[in-house]
Amino acid sequence: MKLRKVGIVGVGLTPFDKHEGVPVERLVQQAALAALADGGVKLAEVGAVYASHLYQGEVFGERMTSGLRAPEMEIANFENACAGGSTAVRQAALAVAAEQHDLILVIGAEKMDRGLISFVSADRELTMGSIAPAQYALAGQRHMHEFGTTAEDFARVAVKSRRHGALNPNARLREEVTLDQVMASRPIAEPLTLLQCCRNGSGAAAILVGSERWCQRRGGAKIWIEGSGLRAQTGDANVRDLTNFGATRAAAKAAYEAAGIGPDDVDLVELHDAFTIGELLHYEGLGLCAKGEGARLVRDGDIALGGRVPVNVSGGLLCKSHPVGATGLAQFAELTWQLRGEADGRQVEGARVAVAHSQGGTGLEALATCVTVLARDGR
Amino acid sequence: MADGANKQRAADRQAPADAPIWDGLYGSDADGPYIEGGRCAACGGMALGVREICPHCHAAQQMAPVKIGRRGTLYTATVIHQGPEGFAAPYRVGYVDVEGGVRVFAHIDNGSAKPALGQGVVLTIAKLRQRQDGTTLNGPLYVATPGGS
Ligand SMILES: [Zn+2]
Repeated sequence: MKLRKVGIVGVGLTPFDKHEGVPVERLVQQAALAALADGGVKLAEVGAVYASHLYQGEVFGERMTSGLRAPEMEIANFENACAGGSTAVRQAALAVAAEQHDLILVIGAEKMDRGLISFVSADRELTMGSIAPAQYALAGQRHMHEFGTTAEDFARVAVKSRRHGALNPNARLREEVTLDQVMASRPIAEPLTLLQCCRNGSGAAAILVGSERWCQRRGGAKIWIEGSGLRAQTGDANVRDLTNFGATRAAAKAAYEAAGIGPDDVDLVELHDAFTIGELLHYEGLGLCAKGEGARLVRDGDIALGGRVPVNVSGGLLCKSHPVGATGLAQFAELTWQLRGEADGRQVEGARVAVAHSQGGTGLEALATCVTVLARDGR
Repeated sequence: MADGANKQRAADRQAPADAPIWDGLYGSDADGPYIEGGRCAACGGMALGVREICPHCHAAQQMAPVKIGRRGTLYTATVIHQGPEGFAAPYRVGYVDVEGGVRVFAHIDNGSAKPALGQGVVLTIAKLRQRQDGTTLNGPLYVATPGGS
């Protein structure tokens, strides 16, 4: 099947916060209307609404849209844990590429209680006393054992991202922290301390995915979805290398191949940093460095704003918090602003190619991992 | 896994004074405690627990119970400082590689018999969780192999 070009026509964000007493519908409407306004589009011109969430109940997209008096349209809901938003964008891009629709509004939102992330379905390890950060800590400990990575290396990821977050008006945590502060914060699962764990949040984001014609109608810099990969690592009976992040590797390979690029072509990355250990290991999984060398990127500042390939210039989940269904979409909003050259105060100069990465599920990367390559016209 | 979770809930309801933390995970015989493994008669593949469907070759009803995990090698471990209700933090958990390519999630000694990564470990059964109703949940705790190895 011949596929046509697909781009991002508009983006909208309801910055993540507690939003106590605000219904989720209001959070979604704010983001959706911002995306429609950004794209110069009316909801009646949209062919489909794709919705991402984890905890919000049945027919979420239908309920969120019903207060906006839209005509009959296709609405579908996507649950892929923390990768739900990026999965919905991928499906929207495929639907537009395959000429099922010309314009799709992707929405994602979550209302969450305070604290650290918890999972809906219990499994054996959680029943035996494991917690989500421990799953990353176990990978981090093995990485330290095999490659000499230190607890400080992981902590430096938080220092870097908090410095970025201080520049982003959409971030929830906007104060910088020192390495000493990160190391001295409350231990959660060694070597992870509290300041290395993202917190729950509430918020929404919306992305308009459209055909070339809609991108041209909007005008300005055109941002294309050049390739994406969605992979899961399954096979619970296999002993696997916990430092490898195979699903990230496989999803990145598919996305790079579809886009006809390699990791050296990437100018900036928004990746899934629910915990600092995940971020450092994803540098390796995305091919930004060789296996085992993630710590070097942090020590040398390659992944800081102004470095070779800045990672999580938005501040990441660490600074924005993590309303699961909206998280992946917020990455697309940030990367779109960056590629358009509109990221005031935190702009990656000359950014042409960007990668979004999100990952979700119980058990370390057992489940969904989505990688998407975005590029500005004329890269 | 849904099956296991249902069994676990059923076990919770009956709440004997001392119960396994996860049904069918471990047992004990004259040689001491062991982890319940499964070996497939069709392909020889092994798994944690006896599976209806072999995860390796997908043969049905071919797995027979096999006692594994009395000894192993510590692959990785972390100390949890903020655990679920009933677990006495800080406590150490990790993965132990045992025979047949099987990896076991278990508690790992964090005291005098604390093993390092890559070290040999021996299985014991210990109290892992004290519930509010007074029941104790027992499960696997690996300790460093005495005398090292
Ligand atoms: Zn078999």
